[in-house]
Amino acid sequence: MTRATPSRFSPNYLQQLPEDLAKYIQRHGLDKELGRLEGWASSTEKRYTEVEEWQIDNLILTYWHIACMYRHSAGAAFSRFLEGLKNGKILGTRCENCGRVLIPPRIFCEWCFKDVDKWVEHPGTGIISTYSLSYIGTDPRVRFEKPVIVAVIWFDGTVKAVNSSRTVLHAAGMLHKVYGVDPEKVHVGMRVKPVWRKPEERVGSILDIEYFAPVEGGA
Amino acid sequence: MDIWIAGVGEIPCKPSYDGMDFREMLYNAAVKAYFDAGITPADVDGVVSSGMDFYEGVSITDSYTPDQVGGRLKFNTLVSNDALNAFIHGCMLLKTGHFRTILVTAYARASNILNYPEIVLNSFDPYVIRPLTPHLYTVAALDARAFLINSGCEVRDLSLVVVKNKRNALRNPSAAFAENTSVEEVESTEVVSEPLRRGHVAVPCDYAAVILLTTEKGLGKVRVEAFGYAVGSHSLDFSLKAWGQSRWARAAIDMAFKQTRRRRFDFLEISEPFAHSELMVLDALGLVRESVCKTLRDGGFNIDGHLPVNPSGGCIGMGYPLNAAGLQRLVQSVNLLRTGRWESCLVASPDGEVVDGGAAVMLSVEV
Repeated sequence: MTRATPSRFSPNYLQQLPEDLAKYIQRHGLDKELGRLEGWASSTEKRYTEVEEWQIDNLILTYWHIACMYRHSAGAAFSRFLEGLKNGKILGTRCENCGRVLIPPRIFCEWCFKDVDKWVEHPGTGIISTYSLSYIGTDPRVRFEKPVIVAVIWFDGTVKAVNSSRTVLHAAGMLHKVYGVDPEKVHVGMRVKPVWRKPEERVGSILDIEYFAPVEGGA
Repeated sequence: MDIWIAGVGEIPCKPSYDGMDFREMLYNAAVKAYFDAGITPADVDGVVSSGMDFYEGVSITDSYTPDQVGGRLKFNTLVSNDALNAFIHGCMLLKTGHFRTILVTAYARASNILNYPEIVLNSFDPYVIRPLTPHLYTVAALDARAFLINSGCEVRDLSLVVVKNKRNALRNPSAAFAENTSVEEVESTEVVSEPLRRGHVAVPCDYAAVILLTTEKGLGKVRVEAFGYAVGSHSLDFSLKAWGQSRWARAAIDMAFKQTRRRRFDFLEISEPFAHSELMVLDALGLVRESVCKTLRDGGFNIDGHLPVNPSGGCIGMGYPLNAAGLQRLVQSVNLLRTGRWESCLVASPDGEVVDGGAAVMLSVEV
């Protein structure tokens, strides 16, 4: 069992922090040693940043919150899914009882409560089922000049709907970003396909699909 | 209104379930529980999940629970702290009369936590405790020292608890740390924080359990006779903590006694993150005439003693599944009661490693 007591903040975590907070932590050497509290008393008397939302109290809470480190076991189904992404494949499972395709895959069907062990591969082509033009990031200071298109993709041939009411009961798909289209022209129902990173750049991550792009000649 | 346990399911304790995620762990436990109960997810009215987001590293864990336990599109709620609280919450939902069958679930992925001591540190006061960065084993050691002084027990008694529980665990296929050990072996382990040695500490483990509760006697295997829950005097900064005492245990059992005439139990299952935790709870419960340490030394708490304690092996013998410890104890209790050897038991579980709070549940099989 892996157990570790980290002695410093990880570079990955620092990258996720608001820029001012990360700079403050590094400037005061707080990234070097967890539990180091030299200067803590004096730091309570000043604000570490000009960003209004971040007061010194938040700094203290954030400082300790950072010391929560986990690894997340992907599990049997999701591990195979990530391995597939690394190899440029979108893998899913199909429930032989209800016929649903599950992407990302599961080893059980929550509708039928049965084991699922039938694996399928999907090319990743589909339609945009819903989308938003996002001008904001998780860093409170960030505002994008050009919006990012965030969309939910429904993969071809996986949609189960009630024909009479057009109510969609299930669709295999994923949340991702869409590029290669004028934001004003993106629309629900637009046909898209995955754009993969180069094989040597893939690591077994959802980001191995760099983005989804419109299918040429698609609606 | 009588409440029954219709079925239980668990996956064995392991240091790490590397091949499964928490959903797959829970699904496997749930499949066993449904099979044991002879019902399907269609028969379940709601789900109560036990969860501690700090342990899981995922916020609002309960939202991610129903799918894998057959709880899709059903009532669902999360109860924090030890899983015995979730179980009691499930019982109370049934007592409202609005539910017929409730599924209670808990899991632990201790192997996912890379800095467990610091995770626990987050539960302490940020101004007067956290800056001192005490390890939770050190905080527990303060409890242990105070208990030994208060009770007249000795460090050797802590080792006796470990030997008893690890040997009991040899009979339990779900136990990860069963061992035919000796007091000398336990006392040869390194000191983690005096008076605690490494051997006195239950090792965190991965685990998942599901229990199906029902008001239908026809489905019932074991009856839930009574339950109680109490929080002692404590504060984030420990200024109000009653060191060396588990005051919650007495209050919880008193609450339960109001629901039943039973005052004697065939065995006890007590979650013990540390060896002294078991003795502290026993001391507070006051179920033995002589002192806890004398009863322990005389073998009274052994599996063939007059009041067996943790015949399953407890957390020290099975592994400590963090907040799932309470459900771990309940599943073992149900399994032990169904062997036919015993007819009643008391389950007690503290709300955490060093928390003065916890719950008690009384179970029985009808003869």
